Amino acid sequence: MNNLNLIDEKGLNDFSTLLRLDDKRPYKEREASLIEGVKSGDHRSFNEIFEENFPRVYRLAHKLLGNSSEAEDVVQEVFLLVYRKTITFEGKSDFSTWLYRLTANTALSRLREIKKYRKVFVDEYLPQFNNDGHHKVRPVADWSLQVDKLVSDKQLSGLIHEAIDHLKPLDKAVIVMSDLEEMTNREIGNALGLSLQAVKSRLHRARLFLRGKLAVHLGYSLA
Amino acid sequence: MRTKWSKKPVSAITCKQVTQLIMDYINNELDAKATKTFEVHLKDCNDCVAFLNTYKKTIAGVRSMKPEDVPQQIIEKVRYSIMKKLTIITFIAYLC
Repeated sequence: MNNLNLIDEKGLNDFSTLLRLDDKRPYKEREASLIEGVKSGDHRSFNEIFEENFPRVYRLAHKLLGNSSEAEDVVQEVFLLVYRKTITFEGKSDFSTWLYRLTANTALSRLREIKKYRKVFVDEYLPQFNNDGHHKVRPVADWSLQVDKLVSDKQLSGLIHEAIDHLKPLDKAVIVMSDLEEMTNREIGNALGLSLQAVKSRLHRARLFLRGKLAVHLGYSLA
Repeated sequence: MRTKWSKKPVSAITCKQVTQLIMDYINNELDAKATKTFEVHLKDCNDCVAFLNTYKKTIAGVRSMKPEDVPQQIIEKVRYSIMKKLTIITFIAYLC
């Protein structure tokens, strides 16, 4: 990232103020005209798109990559791509879906390059069944109420993040987008280039894995 | 001694199949017949009730993690960096 020692916080705030447009309508109402503005090279329109979408793009990148520095680099790359590619954006898909696709693809490429995920045998944490279809370990324990204690002890967040880090990049992207960013399966499929069924399958497997990790942490079997 | 035959219905699906259908059940995406079959199984299977509770709680636990606010300093830092690069790109395009 750049050396910003010559510009202080006030300077940065003044800079961002200069870029603001006067239009006070909700963003969704202005999005189409902002996109046209970017196509004609208007930096203030681009800034409005940046300001509206930055938090979600950054959070997704951060959750996929696990650190601020990588996330900042990816976000910068994404918005520069947005600027260049908006010229060819035809509006056939929703703009935010398109933006998420850029973010996911950029972050996943980076993740694969740096091999950030630690390989864990996900299958080891999935439920096991006998040939007759019954759970292998019986009775299955109901530890659901103990998760509340993990939440109140502020342990859950760390456990979940650590577990998610073990997933393969695409599986990680699916569960982050679904259960942390609250995107629909269809939106996730569009962003990641997956069929609806593929999204559901990966999401279910990732959730079973997280469930298994929680069970083990709480001292129970995986069944 | 007479054997009392159980009058409980034989479940049409196994616990393994219940696990495979669980996500669709939670999302109300099973048709009426599949839902009934699923729920009939749950009535007689404490293992699957426990499994369903822990599966739902896992999802709820993940979703309870509130999205962190992005520090304003990071937003301003990235914005400045991007705008600087865009200015250079625009200037070069102008020269060409």
